[in-house]
Amino acid sequence: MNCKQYEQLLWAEAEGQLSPAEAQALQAHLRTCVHCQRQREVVHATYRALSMLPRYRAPEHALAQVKARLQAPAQPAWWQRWRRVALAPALGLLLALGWWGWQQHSYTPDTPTTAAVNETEHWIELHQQLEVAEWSPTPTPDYFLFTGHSR
Amino acid sequence: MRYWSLIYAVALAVVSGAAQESPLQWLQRAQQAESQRAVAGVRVVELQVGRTWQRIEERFWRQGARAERIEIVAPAARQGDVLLLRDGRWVVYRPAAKQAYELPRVPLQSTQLIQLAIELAQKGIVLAELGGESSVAGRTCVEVRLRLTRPTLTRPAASDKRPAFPFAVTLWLDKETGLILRRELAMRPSTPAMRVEITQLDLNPRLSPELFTLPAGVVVRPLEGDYKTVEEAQRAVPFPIRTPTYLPPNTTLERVLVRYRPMQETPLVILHYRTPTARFSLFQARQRGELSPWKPRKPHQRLNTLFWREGDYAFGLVGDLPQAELGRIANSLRRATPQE
Repeated sequence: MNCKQYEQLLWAEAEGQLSPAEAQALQAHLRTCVHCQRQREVVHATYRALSMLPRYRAPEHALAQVKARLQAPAQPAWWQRWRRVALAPALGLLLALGWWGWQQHSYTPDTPTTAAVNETEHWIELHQQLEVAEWSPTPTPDYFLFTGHSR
Repeated sequence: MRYWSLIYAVALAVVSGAAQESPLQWLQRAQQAESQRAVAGVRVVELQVGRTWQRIEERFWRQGARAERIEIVAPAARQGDVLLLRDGRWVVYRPAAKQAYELPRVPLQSTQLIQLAIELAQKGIVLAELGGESSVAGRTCVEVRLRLTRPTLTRPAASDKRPAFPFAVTLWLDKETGLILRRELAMRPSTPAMRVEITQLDLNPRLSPELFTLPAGVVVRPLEGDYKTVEEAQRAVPFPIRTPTYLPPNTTLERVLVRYRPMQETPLVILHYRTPTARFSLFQARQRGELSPWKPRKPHQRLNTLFWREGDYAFGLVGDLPQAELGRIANSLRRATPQE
């Protein structure tokens, strides 16, 4: 499995939907992958934030209204009359965007370029940690310089 | 009526007296409180690391400046780790473990920070100002702002062994006790680099001696990876550590760190330097396998950076020094050919 696939597991993990085997595989990967460790923090923070959003109950009659609209005979809208004409350029645009997106994201942190970038960014972070650690009233930041914040 | 007038007059005198206290007097009160008072509570430490903030939450029990116990609450991966200040040294252990590790460095205690601030303020190197009042952990606090009057001079003298003063420090002092309940620290004119805030405070804790004692049978060992000299570190590193032949005047080597990295056979070596006006780190590591050209990142948090590769080795310079100075150091390092 690559990092992309592990990222899928991170969401399942946040929702408590992982099988024991998947959880074990994910934990093993997280022990060695800084990129996914960070992704995990982001996923969990996002999940927590989403969990805290207020929930609204739909009105009782909403379902009946939706069903009634689905059953009613549909009137073709103006854009539906043009959709066949517009389909070809839209598909072309979609393919172009898909290719561009794939070019942007088709990496794993183990590939050389990303590893190099991650490493330099990590070095900047270490320098920042060194700068402030000596001013902390607690030795915990200095301790994390050796052991890592989340690993 | 006369009775109430008297109370009012006394209260007014107390309030106006407190308001008239100078920033230095507040700092002296804080120093006394931090060195003597027994306190316990919960505090949150936030560090800006890269583009994110690291958050650490910990319970603490403190006997003045003499003894302290910390139990990490968050991050979850470190929950339960205990740090103990004993005989002037910090040790860390996990509750069930039979080994404790001594941290190589003792961070500057609050009393030392305040002492340094008072000295630098008296010399005019640091400007101390009073801010307004605000509430921290449900208690009224007085804000004391400290900032360098000449940002280019962070130390009074090159021979001063204490750390260079940060660009700005803001302290929120408890109005009643003088304790520091919140602090913010900026290393350069940007957002704060660190925030520490007490979120729960117990001013009358019962501190049993066991709190500050290692469990029976626990053996203390040094936490390896932090060295005073390159020669010491070299014993732990399988490749020759390079040192620059050029360094800016009055540069001192502060720390030599060796960090083991996941997925890499060899460690990362960090030489952390300080000049009278700046600090910078030199990184070096052996990177096995194919690597694409080392691309410098854009300036990050006003830090200057320089990254490059030589054969199997990767190097980096990160710090406040001007880019041209980083270049000179890098050139001197390139000339220092490693002997394998």
